[in-house]
Amino acid sequence: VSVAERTAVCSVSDLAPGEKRVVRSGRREMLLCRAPSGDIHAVGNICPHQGAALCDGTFGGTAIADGVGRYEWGLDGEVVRCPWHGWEFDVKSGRSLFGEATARIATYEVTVEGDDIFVADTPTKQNVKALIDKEEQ
Amino acid sequence: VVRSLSVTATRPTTSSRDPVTREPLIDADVHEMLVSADQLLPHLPKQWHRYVKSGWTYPFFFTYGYPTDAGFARVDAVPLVGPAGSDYDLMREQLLEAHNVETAILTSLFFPGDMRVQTEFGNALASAYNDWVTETWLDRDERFRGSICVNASDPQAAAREIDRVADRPRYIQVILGPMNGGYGEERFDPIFSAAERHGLAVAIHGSARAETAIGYPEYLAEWRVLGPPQQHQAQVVSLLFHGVFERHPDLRVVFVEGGWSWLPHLMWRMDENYRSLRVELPWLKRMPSEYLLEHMRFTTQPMEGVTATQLIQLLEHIGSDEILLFSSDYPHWDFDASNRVMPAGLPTDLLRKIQYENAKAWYRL
Repeated sequence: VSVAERTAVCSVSDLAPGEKRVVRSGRREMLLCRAPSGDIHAVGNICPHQGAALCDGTFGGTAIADGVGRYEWGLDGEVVRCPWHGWEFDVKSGRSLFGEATARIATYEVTVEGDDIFVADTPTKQNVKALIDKEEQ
Repeated sequence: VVRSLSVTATRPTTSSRDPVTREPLIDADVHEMLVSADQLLPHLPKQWHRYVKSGWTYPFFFTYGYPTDAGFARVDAVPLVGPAGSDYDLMREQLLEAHNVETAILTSLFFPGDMRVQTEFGNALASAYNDWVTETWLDRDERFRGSICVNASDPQAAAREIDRVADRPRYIQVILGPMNGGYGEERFDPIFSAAERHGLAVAIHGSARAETAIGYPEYLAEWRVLGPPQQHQAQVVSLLFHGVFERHPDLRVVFVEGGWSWLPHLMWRMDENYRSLRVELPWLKRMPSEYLLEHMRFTTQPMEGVTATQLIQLLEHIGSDEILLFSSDYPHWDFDASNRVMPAGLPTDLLRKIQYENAKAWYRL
């Protein structure tokens, strides 16, 4: 990503580990998520289901299982959960946790230079088609 | 003696004037019946004889039977002695010959897990019933295939019974009544493990003992609309959401006599709820409807009155033309005649799938 295709959205110190915040890049609204590990991801802020703002939902981990009835806490710092119907998305890939390919949020490449967080102005390529499909529906 | 069944004065023949069907048929729901519980005595350990002799009788589930012309039976299928389905010669004439049945899957109506009996007596009844069916039916006509009777309320014993009977010729599935709670519960795993171990399918058959969501309604027509679909829908959801097919990846389940045209509704509703509540069911790896298409089949009878176009649209919504297995439910009064029940105008290849090929592939016949 060249400098011209990204926008400085906030400082690393503005985003504590485990927290999320809404940022803007051009006309796009994004959700910036910082995992406890320090990894930072940016995703589209709109749930593809019915349009709720994901920033009003939760960011963190979720329930996984290594067998039926055996709940574990996992994927910490990797999951946003919609405030309305609870759809969950992997902030790294934009994919829904229930796995349907058509249910995706956009992801944006994040780069950090010094204390500045830059977010790409256009979605990561892998999600462009999903977004177009969604808009055409 | 079955109280609710009338007995005709002369030996009946079929009331149909149609010529014999020419296409071969696989019938996934045929009810063989005991003339009376006394027939089980030779197969029951001595300590249980006292219960049969002191009046415990069969078929107990008719306690829910609303009065109809011939109990649960086609009027012309009631033999001189015993209930409809208890006379092999009549079944051969009215079903096997008249409908060119290549394979008739016997499904009994004998579910010890649904009976109000002592657990050990229920286990003994299941074994006795299997021995009686083997001897009286399966060994008599090579067109028959068997369903292993188990006492589902004792899953460990049920698994032992499956192990005991599975290697006999012509058993292709285990059959369960719907009344033992949700079969997705882990306590039923021994039954599914045993079925998997022996390469058997598991059939779940509707039972007149199942209430509707508003209890037992006033009229039989009400119960027939609501009862069977509700009990099957509950078991479909239980099996899928409890992750039974993650624990038993080779398990095949057949839902018998509870309808199927509600499948699009159920599949959409299951998937939509999984999308929102995946956190409750993190053990699922795929959409519930995907497991359903891979692991479940549904029998057709009692066929709902759909047109060919509607049937095709429903299968498109479901996403499979392999999901339906033809069934007649002989000898019950809501019997579906293979040559008449399917809507006119159905493409020949689809008709053949529903009436033959789907079952052949599913049951590995």
